[in-house]
Formats: sequence, structure tokens, C-alpha cells
Amino acid sequence: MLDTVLLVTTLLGASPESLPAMPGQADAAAVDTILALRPGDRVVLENLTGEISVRGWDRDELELRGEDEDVPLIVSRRGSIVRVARDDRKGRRRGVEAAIRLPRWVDVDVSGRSLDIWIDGIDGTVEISGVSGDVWVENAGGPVRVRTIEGEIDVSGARAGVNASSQSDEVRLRDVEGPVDAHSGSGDLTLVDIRSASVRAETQDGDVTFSGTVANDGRYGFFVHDGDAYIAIPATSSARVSVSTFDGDFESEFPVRIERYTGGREFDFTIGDGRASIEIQVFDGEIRLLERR
Amino acid sequence: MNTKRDEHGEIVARLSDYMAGELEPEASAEIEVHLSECGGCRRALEELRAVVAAVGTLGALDPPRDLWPGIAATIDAPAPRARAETKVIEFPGAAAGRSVDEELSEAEARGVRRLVFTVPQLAAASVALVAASAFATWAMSGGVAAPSTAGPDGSVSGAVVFASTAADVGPPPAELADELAALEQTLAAARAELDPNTVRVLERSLAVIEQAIADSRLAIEQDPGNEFLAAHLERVYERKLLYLREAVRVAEWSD
Repeated sequence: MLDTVLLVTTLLGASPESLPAMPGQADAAAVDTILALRPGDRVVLENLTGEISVRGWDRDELELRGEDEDVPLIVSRRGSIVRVARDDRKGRRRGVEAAIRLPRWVDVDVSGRSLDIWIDGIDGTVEISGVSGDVWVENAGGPVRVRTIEGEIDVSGARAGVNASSQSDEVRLRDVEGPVDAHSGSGDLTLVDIRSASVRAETQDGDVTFSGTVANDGRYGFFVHDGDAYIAIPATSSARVSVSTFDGDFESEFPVRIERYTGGREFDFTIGDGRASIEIQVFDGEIRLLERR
Repeated sequence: MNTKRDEHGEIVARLSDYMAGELEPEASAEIEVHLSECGGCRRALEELRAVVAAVGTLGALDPPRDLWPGIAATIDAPAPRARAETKVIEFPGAAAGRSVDEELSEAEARGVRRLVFTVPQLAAASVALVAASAFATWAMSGGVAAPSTAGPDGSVSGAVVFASTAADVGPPPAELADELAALEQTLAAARAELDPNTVRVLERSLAVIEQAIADSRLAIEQDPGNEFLAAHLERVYERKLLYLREAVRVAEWSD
């Protein structure tokens, strides 16, 4: 049962400079919806189109601001689920430009057909799913999961891992702790300053660039169909490295002494004591194993 | 059932230890007996010696400790919405405008250890290893070695229209076939109801996966027993499955 359809809508006449805006987006304007949130609430931004920014703040409230007074969004609560959805009475096909502020602790779900979304400073789980549109996530304290068919994904400052997949665009992760699973169908994967014991990166048509630490007993897998792999790890790394390629070059800044040969273009070697596992597989492309400095 | 194949696979997998003299005398003797009777495994050993010789030479070089900074200098994130359209990774600050390739060219000049697997070498290796690799364990159990109908350049003919594409590149692994077919049918049924732009996006993405499948099948035709290729093809199919699940989900809430 829908226990609340709560729209506390107030015209605050906020000054444009006070509004959180998506990078490159004109500042949103004046209509506000404010709704008190409780621990355990999950905010669902449902099937939206347009440009949305979400920013964590220290108040236990949801604040919604649109680009004009006729913001085509409706906010509703059912139990612990708070939905922000398109208000079809104001135009089904109309895109939305809105800025939302949420308590940092809240979990956030976003879905959209054509949506650019920017999320900053949320410590709950963040899940984003879209068809097209770009995604930026910054300063995330909880796990981040992003799925898009066509759109770039850019995550920086994630503390509890990232699972990101774009079918046709680039995925960029920077300054990430925790498990990493990155995929692109036809885009580059750029993973920089990664501190994780579990990394998996796979692209069918694009390059993989990784720079990060290697944890003892960590597992790192890099899989490329058509593209290059640049893997930079500390000189003090301890890892068993497994390399496979069908057609390509292998270059290393580490000493390479083949220890196991399994036929074809596959071989293993050890860096340091070989405590972690690094698997690099490139069907058609170059592999560069580099010392991170 | 595949005792002979397994035996060859085990021999190939132990050749590096055999070369390094790290096997027990009995194990070495066993391999030597096998090598005396098996031309394919002898050729695999010759190939391994050539690879080890190349890498060993490279390994004797002093480590060139300046390859990564050039790349790192090109990685930092550009501002959102200001990303480069090209595949050149650009980094702010130092070395602005320099590409990874430029950095690597310089690194090569400094003597980075390099092991090159070129297409001609691959072709030669395919001949050298075909006997041994034919015995190696075939990683996929679902009859994926069926001939591809892809063109000689690996391309898939015809428009990509969800369900029709799988047949163009041969049957999928048996364990994935049912779900793949069901998902493709679901997508095909939903196609008319989807936004044309969504259809375009979905089909273009699917075409990339189909191309990867076609590439992999072509490679397997060249090197039928290559375990890496078999695993690679299986992974691409698994990726296709994940993609179709995602596409169906998108189709369900996009209408």
C-alpha cells in the first residue's frame, strides 16, 4: 500500500549559486521539494531522462530542485522506498534538469533511458542503470554499481569498491579502494590509483590501463579482445604473472624468466615471492607490464 | 575418454619444468620417452626453447625504469565532459600532448624487455604446435569448434538484428545456448516497441560482441587446440549472455 505520497513543495527562491550543478550544467533554479528521510530509506530515481545531480549533505532530508517551477518530477514514499519519478502529467517525453541533495548515509538507485547523472558524496550503496548518458560518481563511501549501454562512466574516490560496465564507452576509475570489476564492450578502461585485492577488467574493443598496488594474495585479471593492456604495478610487487596472447607483443620492465609454458603464446613468470595472481590475456594487442612510480 | 589428449596436454604443461631441470629423474625420463615418440611435443619443446631464449636475453638487460612515468603523465582525468574522443590517453600536466605510443617508442629505444608474437610467428607456431595442441584439453564442452561462417576478414555479414546474429558465427556453447536463444527471442519480440535510438544502441553494442566471437572462431580454426582461444571464446559468449540480460532488462523498463 502506498502509505504516503508526500510532496512538501515550497518555493524558496534559492539563489542560483547555492545550487549543486552537474559539471558543465547551468545552475538549476528555484523549485524545491523537501522530504524527511530515515535511516534505512532507499531513494530510487526511476526511469528518468535528462540531467540529474545528486549530492550528499549533512541533513536527513531529500531536497529536490528543478530548473524551473514546473519540474516534471514527483516524489513519493512507500515504506522505506522513496521514489523520484517522472510526472507524466507534465510531459512524458520531457527531459529533466534537477539537483537533488540527500543524506550521505542513504542508498541510491538510479535508472534512466537517456540520463546524465552526477553523484557526489553518498556513503550508502549507489546503483545506476541506464541506456545512454554519462555517469559520474565521486567520493562514494559505499559500493558503486553502474550499468549503461551507451555512456561514459567516471568514478573517482570510491572507498568500498566499484562494479562498472558500459557497453560502448569508456570506463574510468580513479582513487578506488575495494573490489573492482570494470567492463566495456567497445571503450577503454582506465583504472588509476587502485588499491584493491580483487581487480577484474575486461574490454572487447579498447585498451586497458591499470595503475595500482598489488596486495599479497590479491587477484588481478585483465582481459582484452582487441586492444592493448598497460599494467603498472609497484617494483616491490609479489605476484605470479600469467600472460596469454594470440597476436601481439609483450613488454616488461620486470625481469622475465619463464617458469611455466602451456603452449602457444602463454607463459607464467614470478615477480618477487609470487604471492598475488596477475592474469593478462589479450587476443589481439600489446601487453606492457610496467613499474609504477 | 581423452587419455591421449590429456597425456599430450600434461607433457606440454611440464615442458618448462623439464627444460629448467626441475623435474624428478623419473618424470624427466617419462617426458623424454614421450618426446622420442611424439613429433608434436618435440616441436612444442623447440618453440618453448625459442621463447625462453628470447625472453632470457631480454631479461638480462638492466631494467629501464622510466617507462611508466610517461604513461602516467598522460592518465589523469580530464574534467568531466571534456574527455578526448580519441583513444590517446591524455593526462594533464607534464608531457601534455604526448601519446602512449610516443612514450613507448622512446622506452623501446631505451631497451625495454620485449617479447614479440607476430602474425607470421604465430602462423609458424600454429604449424609447429598443431600436433601437440590438438591433444590439449579442450576447455569448452559444448561443441564450439563448429566452422564459422564469418568472412575471411572475420567480419560478420548482414545486419545485426538481435536473434539473427548468433547463427552467423556458429553455435554457442551448449550450456549457454538455451538462455541465449530465449534472450534473443525476447529482444527480437520487443524490438518493434523500443525507441529506435535504443534499438540502434543495443544492436551496435551487440555487433561488437559478435565481431569478437567471429574473430575468436577464426583464430580457433587456425589453432584448433589453443586453450587460451577456447577460454577466450567462452568468456566472450559469457559476456554476450550478460549483455543480453542487460538489454532485456533495459527493454522491459524502457517501454
